[in-house]
Amino acid sequence: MKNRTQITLSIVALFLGLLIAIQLRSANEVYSAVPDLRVTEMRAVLMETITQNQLLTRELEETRDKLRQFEETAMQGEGILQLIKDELRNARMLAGLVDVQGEGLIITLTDSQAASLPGDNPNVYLVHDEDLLKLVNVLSAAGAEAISVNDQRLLATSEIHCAGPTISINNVRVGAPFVIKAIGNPETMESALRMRDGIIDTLNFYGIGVQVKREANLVVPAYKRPLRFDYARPVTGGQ
Amino acid sequence: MLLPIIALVLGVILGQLTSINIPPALSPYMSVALLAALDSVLGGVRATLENKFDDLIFFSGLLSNALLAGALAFLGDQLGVNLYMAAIFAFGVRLFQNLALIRRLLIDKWYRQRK
Repeated sequence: MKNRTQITLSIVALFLGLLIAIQLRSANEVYSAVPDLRVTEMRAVLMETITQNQLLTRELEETRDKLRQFEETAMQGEGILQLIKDELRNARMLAGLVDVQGEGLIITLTDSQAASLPGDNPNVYLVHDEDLLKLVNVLSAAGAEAISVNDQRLLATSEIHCAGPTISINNVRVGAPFVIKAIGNPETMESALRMRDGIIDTLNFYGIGVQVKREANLVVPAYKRPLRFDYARPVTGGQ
Repeated sequence: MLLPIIALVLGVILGQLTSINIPPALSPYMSVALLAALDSVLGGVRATLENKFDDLIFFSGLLSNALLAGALAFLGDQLGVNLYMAAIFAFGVRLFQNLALIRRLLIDKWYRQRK
């Protein structure tokens, strides 16, 4: 073999070796981007946070119960106070601070079971915040009096917002399947949902599973998180 | 035949020493570039054994092959189709063809030496 040939071949061989080494390392790093140890560690942190969260929720409920007891003892026996108490109860119901029960619908939304085709956007097979918003809006329009999504009571200030793979409602992340409970006239609400080209038709088009069940007596839970107003204050002085 | 092998090993060592990283999105280009280099090396060895190696043909072949393969990969990226597969397939077939020819040439040479 001539010298020149050897050198030419060597240059390309050098390049080849370089490519192999770089690719080898890149491939290794893709797989080890999140080491197992880190995953375990992070899972432990997550579990701890969840437990703490549950504990605090329980504490909040207890405190609120105590407050209610105080209010009740303060109002006992007084005729005029009974009226105020009734009004307070109505206001609490409207604000979503008490569990309410009555007839209504339970709607279950599940992500599409259809196998996604290569090149398909997997997003269209998932339940999105917009889907939930539209559904809840239709229910409200049909006269629903209390609505909850995965046991998160919807208030005037509730958001239904995309949060990565989950949806944030009342600042709590919830995931599929979504169980929506609505108290109201079941017939009106169901026909509003099942309107031709309505919300259920649209969701079915994307393969999202929608189950509607009428319930004679269902319970919509109360709002369980702290109520705070940092900016809004009532207007006083009869303005 | 020793110098290209030394160069190959040197290249691997050099690659280990550098800290260049290829993002996963560029992996089609990387596979195509790898195959183009591999194909050129084997083709070069074959041409050497056939005593018709030529620098210009060698380098222009490497360059044009890599350019076409890269263009195919880019077009495939834009269209959302795995067009770079075509380049991989063509390079793969050529790799085996070159290997078969090299084998035949070496065996021929060996027979002739024994006679």
